[in-house]
Amino acid sequence: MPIVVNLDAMLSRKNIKSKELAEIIGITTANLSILKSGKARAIRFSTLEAICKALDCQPADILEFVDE
Amino acid sequence: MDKIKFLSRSLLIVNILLITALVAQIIIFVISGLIDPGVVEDKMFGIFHHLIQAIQVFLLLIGLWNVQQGLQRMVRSGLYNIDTQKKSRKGGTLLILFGMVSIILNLIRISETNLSDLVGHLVQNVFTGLVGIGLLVFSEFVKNGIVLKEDVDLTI
Repeated sequence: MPIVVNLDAMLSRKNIKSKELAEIIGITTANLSILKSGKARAIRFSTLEAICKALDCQPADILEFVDE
Repeated sequence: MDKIKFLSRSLLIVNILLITALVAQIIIFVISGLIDPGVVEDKMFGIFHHLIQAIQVFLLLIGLWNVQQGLQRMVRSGLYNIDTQKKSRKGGTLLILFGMVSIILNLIRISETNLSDLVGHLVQNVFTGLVGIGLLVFSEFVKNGIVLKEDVDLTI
């Protein structure tokens, strides 16, 4: 998929563990893992909003378009 | 889900009755027809008369068995699963086949049957075929449902 999720990079930059983020934004670690691995088909605005709020960043910091 | 369970159990009972009827038909009519052809000599297919009927029942049984198994899988694994989709498609195809074969056989045996019986049989066969088509449509619904469920499950 040409949309790449850079969540791992953001997590290490902000020094937050996946489990902590999952708890803050209210999703399971399994779902967060699906999101990080790029297996997710879609992301809800509410989830994106929660992630941006938790990591204090912009959607563009997490999602990137890479032309294949 | 209760209605699906009820339908699945009802179909299981119907299938058990069909198996019993099939075994009885094979033992009583098919074998006796092959041993003593005099019993069925006035029939269009002669000694194969009861054998053909048994094959028809077998076709119906396999179709209904698949439908029942699909419903059972639905009860166990949820509404949208690949097994239910496959079993419904197979069951539907077999019911259509049963309907078509029965219509053809009824038309071949037209001289043995009176008109009211013939019409009754043909209506039954057409409806069985329609149920089969309905099952194919249901199978497509389940197929689309699987895709939608996967989309929903993978939306975070």
